[in-house]
Amino acid sequence: MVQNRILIVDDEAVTRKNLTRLFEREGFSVSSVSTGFEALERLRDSPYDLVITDLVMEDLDGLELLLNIKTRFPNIEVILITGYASIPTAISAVKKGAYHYLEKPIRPEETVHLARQAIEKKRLREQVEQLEALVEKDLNAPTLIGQSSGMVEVLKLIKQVAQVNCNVLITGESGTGKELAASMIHSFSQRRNNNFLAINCGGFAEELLANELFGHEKDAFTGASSARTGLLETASSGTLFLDEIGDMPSSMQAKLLRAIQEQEIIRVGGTHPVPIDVRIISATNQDLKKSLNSGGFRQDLFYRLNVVSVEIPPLRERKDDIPLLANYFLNRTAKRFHREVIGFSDGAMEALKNYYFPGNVRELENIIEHAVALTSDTTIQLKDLPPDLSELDIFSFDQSGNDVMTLKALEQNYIQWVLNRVGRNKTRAARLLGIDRSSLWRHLKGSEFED
Amino acid sequence: MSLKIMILSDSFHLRTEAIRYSIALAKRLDAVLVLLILLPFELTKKTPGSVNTVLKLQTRAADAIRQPISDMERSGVPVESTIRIGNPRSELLKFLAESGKFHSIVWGGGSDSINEKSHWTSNLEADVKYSVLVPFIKPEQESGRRSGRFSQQRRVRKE
Ligand SMILES: Nc1ncnc2c1ncn2[C@@H]1O[C@H](COP(=O)(O)OP(=O)(O)OP(=O)(O)O)[C@@H](O)[C@H]1O
Ligand SMILES: [Mg+2]
Repeated sequence: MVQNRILIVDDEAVTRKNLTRLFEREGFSVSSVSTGFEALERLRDSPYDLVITDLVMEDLDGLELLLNIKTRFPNIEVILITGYASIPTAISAVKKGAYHYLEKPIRPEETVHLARQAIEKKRLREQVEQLEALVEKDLNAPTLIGQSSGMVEVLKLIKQVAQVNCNVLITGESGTGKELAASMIHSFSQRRNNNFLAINCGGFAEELLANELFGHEKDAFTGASSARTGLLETASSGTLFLDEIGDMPSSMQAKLLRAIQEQEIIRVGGTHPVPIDVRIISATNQDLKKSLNSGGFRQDLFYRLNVVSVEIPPLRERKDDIPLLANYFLNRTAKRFHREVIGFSDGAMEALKNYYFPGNVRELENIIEHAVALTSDTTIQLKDLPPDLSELDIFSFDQSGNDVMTLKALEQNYIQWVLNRVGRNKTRAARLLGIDRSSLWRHLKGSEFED
Repeated sequence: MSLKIMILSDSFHLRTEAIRYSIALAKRLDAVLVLLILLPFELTKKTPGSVNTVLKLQTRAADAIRQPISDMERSGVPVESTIRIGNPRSELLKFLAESGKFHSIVWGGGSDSINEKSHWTSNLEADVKYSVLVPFIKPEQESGRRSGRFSQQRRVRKE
């Protein structure tokens, strides 16, 4: 891990010594200087993450130092130390880009906590900038963004599987980035200079889908005035993305299986087989294995498509990605609309991290785009986010495995949670839950938590 | 193709937070709303005037959802509604089979009824392949507001 580098600026030797000792004990790498001019010299010569400076100093004061740092080293965070009398100045400094201010006398815990937060913010911003640089370098390269352990695994798998010329099945809830993942696999593969074509198998009637996939000969049906190649043919040497594969009608499943096995297709109304060489990446947000058992999806086709499977976890199971994605969407939108919006208030970020996101990344993207358009601030505030994020709790019972809770269990958890919040006062809990005491008692009677 | 979000209830009452949340979610996902009211009713030979009862239930339900529907429409989200009377579980499964895919289902019915073991939604996840979302008002958001909402709920139920 990189060591956090702090520069302390204060004209009082005692403060410098105390702060240095405090941060060194916490494992930071610390330097200190006694004037603003010296500070600027240090910053020019070596890299720092954070400057903690006294506000009132001779020559160059903390505010002037801040402005200098923000123009010359915009990535370095600044925290000001101030006496009670200069708090208004400190507040205006925060508006000018300081991370925060600390009031004297200094409380060690608060100081270290704030410093950690400031550095974390700087690191996050740098990560987003790196990502943007990557994306900008190759505008056509699709990139799934994520740093959670779940996403790091997915990205590793995507890069590995891209090199192998096999069919891939991508699963994940709606909005988790399945299509993006598919185009990423294509762009990392040997086929990257050929076509990447996509079709939604759920969006077409059966005949139309056949026509799209296999093409048709002239006069194959009324209105077919000329021959047309299908996607399987056009995507040859490239990649074909079959979205919502679970919705493919069974007659079409048989035809697709044949095409994959024989590596050739016959156009609708045609007789001659046409050879194809296409990599198929399919996606579904259903549990295809379940459909195998119930006969909804052909097992033989499933194994042909699912040579390797990539499973993208829902956003609620990788909350670590939320700040990164949110900042990425914020920067992108701010740039697009030429708005000066640079980040999120703590409250806003907290609300985002706590939300359930049934619509996954697609929903987050939409929320951020709206917030950037709406805000009158340079940082997104809680009030710029949809009110339901802070006013409602979303519970869910879903079918994603055996470890799901029944609604009954969820309700029990909820009741216990409310009870804990009100110090297990049943009258208050019942009032909060909107039920009367006797029905609360009934709910509790069935549970092991009864008390 | 627009995504579809279902609001599901088994009573005349739709919880306000469920309506609010469905509207907000639909806006964010550019989805349309489908309101499904399932009124439990068992037709037996012995019940005299069953047809009348069914008709009455139908009318009452249609009256009860008029306001929520107009709220949804006013907020700019397209909404369709269906009232089914019978065994709620099988009516739901039939409806899902007829109507194709949904993005998610928001539970709009009462919050204590679903608690009971004998309730028709218990173990629903075995049959329905969607996650069912149940929005609650956060406890810290409460104070005062809740009592008003719930007295309103009681009034609706007593009618
Ligand atoms: N990890 C990610 N990084 C950046 N953008 C993402 C990420 N995941 C999803 N997105 C964005 O979210 C949106 C939805 O992604 P995508 O269409 O790939 O999802 P999907 O899984 O195919 O959804 P559906 O099942 O509804 O078709 C897109 O705009 C996509 O660019
Ligand atoms: Mg998709």
